[in-house]
Amino acid sequence: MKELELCLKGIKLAEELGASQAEAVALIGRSVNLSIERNSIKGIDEGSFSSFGIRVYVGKSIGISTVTSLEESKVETVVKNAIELAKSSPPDENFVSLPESKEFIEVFGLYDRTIEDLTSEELVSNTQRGIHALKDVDKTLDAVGGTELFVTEKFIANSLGVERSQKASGISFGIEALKKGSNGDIGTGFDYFFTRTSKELKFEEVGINAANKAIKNVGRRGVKSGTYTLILDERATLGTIGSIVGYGANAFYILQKSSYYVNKIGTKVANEQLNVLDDPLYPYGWSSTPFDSEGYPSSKVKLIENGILTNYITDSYTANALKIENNGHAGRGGLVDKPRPRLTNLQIASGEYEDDELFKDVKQGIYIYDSSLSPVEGSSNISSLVDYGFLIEEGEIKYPVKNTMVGSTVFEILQSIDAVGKKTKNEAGRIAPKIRIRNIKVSS
Amino acid sequence: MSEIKTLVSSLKLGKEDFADFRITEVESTSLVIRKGNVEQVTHDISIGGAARVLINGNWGFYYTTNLSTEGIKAALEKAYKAAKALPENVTEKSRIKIERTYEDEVKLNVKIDPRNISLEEKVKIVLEFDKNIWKGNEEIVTTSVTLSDSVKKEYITNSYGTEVKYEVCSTRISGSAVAKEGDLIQNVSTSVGESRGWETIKEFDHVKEGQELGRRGIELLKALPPPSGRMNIIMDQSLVGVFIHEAFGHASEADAVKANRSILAGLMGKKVGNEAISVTDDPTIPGMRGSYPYDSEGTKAERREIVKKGILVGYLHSLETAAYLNAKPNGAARAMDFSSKPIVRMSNTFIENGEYSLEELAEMIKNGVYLAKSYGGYVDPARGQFYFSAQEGYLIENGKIGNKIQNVSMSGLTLDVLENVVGVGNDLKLAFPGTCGKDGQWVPVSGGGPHIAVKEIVVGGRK
Repeated sequence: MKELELCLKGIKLAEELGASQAEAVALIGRSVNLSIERNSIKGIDEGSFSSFGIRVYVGKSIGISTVTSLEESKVETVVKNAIELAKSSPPDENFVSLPESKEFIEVFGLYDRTIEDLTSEELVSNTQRGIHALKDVDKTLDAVGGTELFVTEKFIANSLGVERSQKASGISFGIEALKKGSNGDIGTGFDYFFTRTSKELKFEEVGINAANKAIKNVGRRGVKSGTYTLILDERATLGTIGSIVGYGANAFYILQKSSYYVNKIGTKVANEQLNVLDDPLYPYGWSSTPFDSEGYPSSKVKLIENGILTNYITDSYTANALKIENNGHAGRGGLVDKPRPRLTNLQIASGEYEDDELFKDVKQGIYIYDSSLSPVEGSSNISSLVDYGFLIEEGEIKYPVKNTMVGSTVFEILQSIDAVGKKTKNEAGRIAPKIRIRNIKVSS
Repeated sequence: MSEIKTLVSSLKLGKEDFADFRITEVESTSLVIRKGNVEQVTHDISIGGAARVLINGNWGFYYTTNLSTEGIKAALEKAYKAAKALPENVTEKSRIKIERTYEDEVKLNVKIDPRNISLEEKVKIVLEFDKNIWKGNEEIVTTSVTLSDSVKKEYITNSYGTEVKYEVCSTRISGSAVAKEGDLIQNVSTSVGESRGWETIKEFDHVKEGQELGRRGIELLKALPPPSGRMNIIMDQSLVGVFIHEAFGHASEADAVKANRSILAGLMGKKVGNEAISVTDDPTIPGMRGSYPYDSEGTKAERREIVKKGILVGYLHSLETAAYLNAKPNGAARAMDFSSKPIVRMSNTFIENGEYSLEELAEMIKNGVYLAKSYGGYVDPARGQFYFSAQEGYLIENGKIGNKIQNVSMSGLTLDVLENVVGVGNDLKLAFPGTCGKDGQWVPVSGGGPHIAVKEIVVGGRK
């Protein structure tokens, strides 16, 4: 593989120029995107890319340099730039070492040749099936959205012997339906799927779901401000717990002392019915990877067990600095970003409650779906808009809400969970049930 | 005629067809410091090109990092093939409108090119800024200071004859502090971002700003929990910037109007707010974060009036939306990078000045909250529902601004809120240097206005 050889050459050059340690990453790939507007495919966007990035340390000082090219001369320039940056930069006292090479377990189902081989004509036809399914529910609906296919191959090497490559592919489809109500109110609804296997293409199902959600979203009204029971659908559960735990149990923010879960390992942070783990090794998982962005083996991590915080997600930097185990959760926003711990496939265990049991004794509640409650910018406060929700009265769903907000804290939200649903939704390895949360402040 | 222009011209296009090729090169550096520790020092060169072809009303697009003659030719052919690959009956036909073509070259217009500043000088400034945030403040558990600068070069040529090259700079320094006491965590931030050069950073009083940020973080630990419910509020200039951007600006982007995703569709020439409100989007203000000379379709940027005395008077347009809505292209199509398509975006968006002082606005409100220092927000322009957050605020009691409150968010409905404006201040400032996300693309923008008083906003606090 010439890309991996290029990475090794980059590392060798960096070491010759004075790097104590270096890590090189090469990426190649292509994408196809079909956009939908006014119930119609608007066009086909395609492209291919290649890029290279190097992270070097001179002692404890870091330099990162990247370029959108795999030409040897440009790679050489980038390596020299990174060395120059590191030599002019003060040390990062938290840095200990890049990770060493360690055996990893292959993850099944990350690349599917049949996805890569889908032609533009097949993508057009599949996308049209989604649009037609939506319009078959209600001819007056208006749709926007798109289909995206990607194939990527990443190559990672470092000066401690890591040499890895991984090919991956995936396809996603999302569509939003808009319904105009007779009184001028507008309802919207969306649905999507994302998958790594061509066996799970759900174009029609997603079109129908988006249509039905839009129709039910017409007639939005405010609610009376007060204290409500919240029921979160599976996506709202995943989004809410993902945003709370993704920040709070992230070893980077623990190291920075800015997390609300500093010194909370072994303590109760949620109701005992809550069990949360992160599994990067899930077969066919959307965020699955056998090794993380530093080439270190990924591993499944239990984060909350019976309401007790049990672990943080870590990468080499945070694990070394905090003197805890590296569980292979390094992720990168882009090549130019230094890796940081990231959630992959978050999974929330099912509970004991059937759907009707969750709703039946709720006197005054809000059913939140397809949206989530998130902490405000890393603080422990939650002040979130209910993007999509219904009022619940006496156990019955009444009408869609608008201009309605939830005010709480990360502690109150998780401690106030009083029921976890029996059924779960599995979206390419991201798994969650519905949850019920009691006595939360709602304003509207 | 350049080689690329020749390649674009050589495509077989009909009278209504169109093609363009764009090369975008961005060179950027960034430094991140956290409580005295240099966490990240980066240098990035992103360079690539993209071809767009419109044939028989169907779009094809192809991006590439191969900018050799063969690579550009191949990208044009692939975009052409993609446009042709769509069956006749699949698409609603698109068209574009070009009223004039441009041939121009705009060189970087800065006093001090940030690429000429040594890393040592940059490190010195961020370390001092950072230290002044936490020095002597035990409650400040962590900080994050980022200094970034970039120079973007864009070249656009199209089949109508436009050939434009321009360079634009972006410099930004930002700091945030996390204050903690027990389980209570408060996060405060500040930033300055402009399209001027290193002079922006030189003029930033990083010592004073650092001290101020640390003080604000600690004060919030003692502040009252935010109230909840429907109430009267005053927004400071940075919140007004986010408010007008989210509540109104996105709905005025004509691609949302074209796609039936704007609450402002069909309201041109109609009253959409209180007559004290006038809204402008202007990419031509020298040095502002959202400024640029040409958009990513090669249309010259121009000042755009959106609302005049409460009446909707304009949308923001690309070549395609201008054709669809029979309007004049006004240079609002921006692409994040070479691999992204140009889409309609805001630049520097603001509410024009009114007549009241902050004290007079507080008198008008009587009881409510004064909210300050924006975190950002988002909007669903189809339903007109928006959300935005403040880092801090103050209770207003009997017309006086009083006790401090913690961070809180607000929501509202586009068409209600501009009508509910009860007073517009006289202290216009483009106080929010932001980065706006839409369809996965992030571009620099700014927003602002004077202080504004609005009634009946939903505040999502805990009390």
